[in-house]
Amino acid sequence: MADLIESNPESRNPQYYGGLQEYGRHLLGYSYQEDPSALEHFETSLRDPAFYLLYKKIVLFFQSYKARLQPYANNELVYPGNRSFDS
Amino acid sequence: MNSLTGFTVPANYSSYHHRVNPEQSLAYYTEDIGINALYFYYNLYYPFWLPEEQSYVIRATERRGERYYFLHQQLLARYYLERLSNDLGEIPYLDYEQPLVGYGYQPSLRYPNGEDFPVRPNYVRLSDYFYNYGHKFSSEGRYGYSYTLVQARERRIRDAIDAGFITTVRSPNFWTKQIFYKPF
Repeated sequence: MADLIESNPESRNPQYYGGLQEYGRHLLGYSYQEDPSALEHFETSLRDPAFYLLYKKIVLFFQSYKARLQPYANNELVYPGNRSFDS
Repeated sequence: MNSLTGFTVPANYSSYHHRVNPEQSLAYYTEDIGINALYFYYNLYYPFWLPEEQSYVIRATERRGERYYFLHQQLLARYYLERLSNDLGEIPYLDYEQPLVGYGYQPSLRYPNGEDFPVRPNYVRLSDYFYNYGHKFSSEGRYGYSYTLVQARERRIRDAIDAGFITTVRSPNFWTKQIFYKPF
């Protein structure tokens, strides 16, 4: 799921879901010429407040995804036979 | 309480003197060279466009989705704290229809050939632009349609999260559904 959003090569269907990062940066960069805006270079993208606007949405996708997963079962969280000692 | 030693770091950032919008009071944080270098080197070592067999850092593709989320969530959390300490409130929610919230950006930067970085004014309306600059209609030419593409892709991702299945590619003309989790 995270691979879909990030559109890395492990994404299952990149032409359907992918590219949110790249196109979002181009759109918010507001460059009507051919040179890339400040959002499209990685070393200047944190200066632009629109970076945080765009990534707030992406982080909210992840959080809504995690909110919809099943809660952990007890046997996934607890190792049987674990004891903690006071030294 | 012990007395605290204070340190002053002289900083000479490029847009410190601009007062375009209230966001500029955060310029001491956003223009910080260290954090920009962090993001740059992060994308250099764990690039999102490289598959596993071509990456040059060992285990660069392990859990890369989680790492992506973790990095951005931490960056946003720190930014949110800085905003709160400057009385600016929450990060506004991005709505593509309305004029973009009044946070223009004016990088006082320049390319080596003399051209300036593009400036975004406050309160712009985003839209498609339909000229192609002579690029072929592949990934380069499609940048003109960013407005509809970004909205469509966001909606697809949101649908995938809510419905619990994604459409995957089995062969070029046959896309199937694949259930990847059951919503709670």
